[in-house]
Amino acid sequence: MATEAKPLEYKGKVIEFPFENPDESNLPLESLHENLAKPSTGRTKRLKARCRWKHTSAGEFVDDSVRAGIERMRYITESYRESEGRPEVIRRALGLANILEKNTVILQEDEFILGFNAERPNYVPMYPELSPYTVLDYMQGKYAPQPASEAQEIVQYWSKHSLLTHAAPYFTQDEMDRMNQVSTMSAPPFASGFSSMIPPYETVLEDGLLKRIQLAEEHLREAKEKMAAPYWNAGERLELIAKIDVWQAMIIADKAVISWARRHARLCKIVAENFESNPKRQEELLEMAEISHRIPAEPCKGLKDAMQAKWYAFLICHAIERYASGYAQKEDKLLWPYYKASVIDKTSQPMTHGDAVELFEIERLKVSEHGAGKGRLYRETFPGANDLFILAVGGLNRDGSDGCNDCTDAILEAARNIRTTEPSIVFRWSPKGRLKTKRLVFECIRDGLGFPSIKHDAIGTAQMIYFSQFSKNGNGATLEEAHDWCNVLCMSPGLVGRRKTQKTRSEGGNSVFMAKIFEVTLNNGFDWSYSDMQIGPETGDIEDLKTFEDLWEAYRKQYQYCVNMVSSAKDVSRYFEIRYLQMPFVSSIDDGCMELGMDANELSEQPNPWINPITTVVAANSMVAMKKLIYDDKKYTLTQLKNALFNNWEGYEEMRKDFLNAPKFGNDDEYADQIVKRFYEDIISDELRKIYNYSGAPQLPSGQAVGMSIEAGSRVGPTPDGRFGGQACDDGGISPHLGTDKKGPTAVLRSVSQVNAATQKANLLNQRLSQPIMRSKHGFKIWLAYMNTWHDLNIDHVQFNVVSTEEMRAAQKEPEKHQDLIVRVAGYSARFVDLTTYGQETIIRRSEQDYSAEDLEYLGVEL
Amino acid sequence: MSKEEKSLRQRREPGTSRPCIKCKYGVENSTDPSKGACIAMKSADGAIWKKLIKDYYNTTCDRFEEGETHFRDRV
Repeated sequence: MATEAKPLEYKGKVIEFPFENPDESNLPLESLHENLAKPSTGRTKRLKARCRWKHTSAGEFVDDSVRAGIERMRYITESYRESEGRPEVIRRALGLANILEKNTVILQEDEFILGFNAERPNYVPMYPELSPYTVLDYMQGKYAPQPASEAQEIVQYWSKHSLLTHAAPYFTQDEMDRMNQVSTMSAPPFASGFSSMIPPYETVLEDGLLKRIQLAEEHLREAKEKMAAPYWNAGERLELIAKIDVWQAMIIADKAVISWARRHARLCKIVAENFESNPKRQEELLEMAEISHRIPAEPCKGLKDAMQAKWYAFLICHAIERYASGYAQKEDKLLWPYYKASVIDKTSQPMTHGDAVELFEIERLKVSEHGAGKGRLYRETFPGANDLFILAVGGLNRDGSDGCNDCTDAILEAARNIRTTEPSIVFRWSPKGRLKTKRLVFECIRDGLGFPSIKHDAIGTAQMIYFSQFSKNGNGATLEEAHDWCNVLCMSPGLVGRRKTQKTRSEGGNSVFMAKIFEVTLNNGFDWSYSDMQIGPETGDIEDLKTFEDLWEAYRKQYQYCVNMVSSAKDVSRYFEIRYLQMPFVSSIDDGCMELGMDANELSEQPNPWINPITTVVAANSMVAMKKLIYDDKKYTLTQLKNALFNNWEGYEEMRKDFLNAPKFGNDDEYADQIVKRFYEDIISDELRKIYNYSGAPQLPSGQAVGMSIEAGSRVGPTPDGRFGGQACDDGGISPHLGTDKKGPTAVLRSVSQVNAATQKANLLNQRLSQPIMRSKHGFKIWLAYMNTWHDLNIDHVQFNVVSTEEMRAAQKEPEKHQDLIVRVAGYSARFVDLTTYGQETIIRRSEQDYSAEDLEYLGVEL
Repeated sequence: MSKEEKSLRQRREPGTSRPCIKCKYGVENSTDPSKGACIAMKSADGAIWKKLIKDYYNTTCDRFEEGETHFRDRV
């Protein structure tokens, strides 16, 4: 049975921690989470029960029945074969139109939001135009698209035309091998095909696509008149040719999307009139038909319209025009006018708050069924989830008022009720945020969803202002617009709105692996433990690193090499995305692209560049241990360390204990924290800021691990922090390494706060909190005090696991009984039973933070 | 080098009938499917120390065992 937290003596009193809900003392501790899901209606309960999740783990789909579809790649290839000689942007639009005209449209039992990205609900689409590697990987395995011979022909076609084909020749084979092996650096976007973006949903909902077509037609007419008018001026008129093509492509794309939505409308009508016998469902199908006939062509009137229009736009932007991970939006702000019209004013599509909650539950289940035809690397990177889907709520409005509203609450209630791993939610924390909404945030976290993760509102807004100064066209975020941001993917803020949003991951993204860089720093740039090849510059053998500063500067050079390489790979990707991977639909819904006649890949109004350093704390702790035991105390020599590492510490057990027990980050230890602070600021941030990206801005580090703490760890040999070869690395961007934070939750906060948040784009902090305290009657009060302290310490981010070890152990034994057990990995949540056994162990081994009287005192809690 | 490490020493054998791609300890490379990784080296706590296989179709070793490892036993 569930057990209460032990009583604690605090300020002269003995504090007891009874459950907030006394009935919980009768629930078995091992299956608490199976009792927490409460879908708000029978419909959402049924939808969840039959949801076809596309979770991946260790590069495989957990559900064996998932397959790669052929329709998307068939129809884009068919169109490309027919459109040779046409302008590339037009070919992209025709490709999209061909897919939308011919793909299978799907209507499932109980659905209210229509639209899917492949021909069957258990299929994922393929993108051979990005990287044929990805399709080849599927073809090599059990998910192969069928017929295989057709897939083979398609891959052959794109082997001459893909993004990879265009970009790879600008790198040597050695460079490609170093990046593709994903040990010190992530694979280039042109090889992995990975991307992320923030669609400007606002224009779809507010204007409708007919209005966007009208705008493009007006620009087209004006441009053609200008071309024809006397007197010809080549300087200003030749540039109109490219713009004319872009506007034409926008019109083709938008008309195709309207027709596609109307195909869904017709399907609903046919089913309602010919097949459905339930009068209530018949009526609903006719309503769905009416909505999909009207939107996204016309502006949305109520919440049902807005949810459907947003979903269609999501599918095109993230899954059909090209693949892009994410579910980036400031959802409560985006939907507030429609929520207000339907729920509060009841002027259009009237409904109750409860009806709105059901709609958000339905939306969550649509996302849960949405799979991505992504490459193996990104099937390894987010274990236990379909892909990364993260939406933002909360924060402040443009005028500085509280951004929380009743729509925020409906989104959070739906998440708490339905219990799905995706989409994850980011809550922008501001002291102005209303308590009622913060209580809902707490309930989601307390119930073990692992989200919302929390971002510091003011830090994110200041960052938008910082980047706006580098805008290439002088049209970056205004002070008011800087408040309108969400997370692009897990961690990094980016603007939302009608323009200036990030459209491709070649703007921000791509990773370097700090622990591996540390390992090769000790070996003259050679990787002995994974690839057996030179993967970095020659900076000297371990015995050459006579002083700590020698080690520091050698690391700096290795890091410089890696960040320079991955940055150039991103920008080379961008160069070719602009020329061969245009996005006419995305461009059509961006006010900037529409006004300027530019493709969304090309137009950059608000820079948003970053690189993700991953496994930083293992590298930093290794620095600390070497400084202490070799350079300061001189207890060991560099040669002894070299031998110990080459032997994976075998025969050096006592020495390993010393390195393991050396000061570690996350314990409010000044010796460790000052070195780690310098590492984050002097090397990670300062070196990265010397690199300017396509958008003309210096890059910032965005520390986050996703599931790569495990995958990257498997490619890293033993490290001087006492870690064995292959073991998992740190699971965040600035999270203490597994089990090394031993001084309680406030010591972690004090350590993390040493690093100046303004020098980083983001830094992920993972914490595992005591479940009995969180579920006690004092849980909310203590957590709120923790959050206020976190905010006052100016820390960028925090996210929580609130799950008992007992329940995780029970789930390992009987996975089928624990389908609702969710855990936070890093930046996203995963279904626990869909992780690898080792992945599960890394969650269990995280330090479970309990509160001592000193912690409570530091937080200023009155109990 | 331990006995286990010796048995896992990769050797290139063009056209081998025991290539890593058919081995239960072979997994596809994250990016380029012509390459792979060996997952046979496991530590006491279940961590897997991977080794890159540069030619997935034409490399083998003494530990070859035809089959596939379930995702749950990988990392």
